[in-house]
Amino acid sequence: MPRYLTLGLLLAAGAALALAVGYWNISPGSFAPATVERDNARPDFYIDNARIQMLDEQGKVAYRLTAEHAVHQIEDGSTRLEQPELLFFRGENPTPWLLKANQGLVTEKGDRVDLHTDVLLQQQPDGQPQRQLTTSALTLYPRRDYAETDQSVRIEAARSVTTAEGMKLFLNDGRLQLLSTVRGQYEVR
Amino acid sequence: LPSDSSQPIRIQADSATLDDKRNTAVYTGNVIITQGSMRLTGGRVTLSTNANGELNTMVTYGSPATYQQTPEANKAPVKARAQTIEYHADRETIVLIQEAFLEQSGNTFQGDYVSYDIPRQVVDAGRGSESANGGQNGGGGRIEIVIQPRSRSNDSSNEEPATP
Repeated sequence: MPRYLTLGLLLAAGAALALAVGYWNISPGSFAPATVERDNARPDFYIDNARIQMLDEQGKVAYRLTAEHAVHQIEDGSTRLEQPELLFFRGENPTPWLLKANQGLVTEKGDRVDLHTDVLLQQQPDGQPQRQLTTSALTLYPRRDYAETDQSVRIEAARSVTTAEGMKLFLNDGRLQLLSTVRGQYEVR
Repeated sequence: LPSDSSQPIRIQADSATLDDKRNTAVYTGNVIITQGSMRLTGGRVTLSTNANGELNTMVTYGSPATYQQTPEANKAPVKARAQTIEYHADRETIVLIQEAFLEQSGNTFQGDYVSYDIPRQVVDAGRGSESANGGQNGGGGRIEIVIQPRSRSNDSSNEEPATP
């Protein structure tokens, strides 16, 4: 084959190769398998039948949290709870209050607990018959003895049923503020 | 109605604070309380119960707070208003305090302090002796009572007494 033909072919092949590299960005790295998109929720451990106890400054039990299944996430350090039950011990009052729900999410290193679906709070106000409070979601701040919700709330006591939209609950002195559309019914006898 | 006092009490309000320690519930924001034919309205109502949840008193504040109740079947309702209306469940009486006004089958009672015994339908106007605090509180608790005269039917044909 004449010299100029092979030289032309070589040149053409080189140009084509250069074009291909530029056009399809063929680089050694692109032949490696694409890395899987990492799911940011990466649980680092989970516990079945978890039982967590928080102590207060005097070392007495402040609250005891039990859950059928608890999954701890690395990223934000939050813990997702299945069927959480929280026993809330209130200083001198012997009977603790029970707070439970279907789902729970513990964040801010235990300073915030978001409970949702079928939230139930059983209170034993000092010297009073038991009172039951139900709502669809509740946010609890254990350190501040405070809980709140903007959902509708239903409170059943021995002789009264009260419903409202939104509530603020001060767990230490049992004060409860109902925020709007309050409807109450007291049975007299 | 005599059966009112055993009826359930229904409350409507804009907001409320329930306080177990003091067995009280404070309802605020156009509060309406009904029990049978009794109806209380006001801006703020403090409802206090005894230890096992039975009603003690309901104190209604308003400008004015109003009260209405039908004492007996097909009898004219008793109407009242005052700055403060206290309902005492045990004695079944209401006490009207400050700018009190009560109307009972046409007769009206006005003063700083009017109390009304619901079952006996007896109005007691003016400061009771036990809380006599002399003349300092302004008008010395003066009261004004207007009793409607029995209206004599003009023609003698219909003798049945004219109901007011």
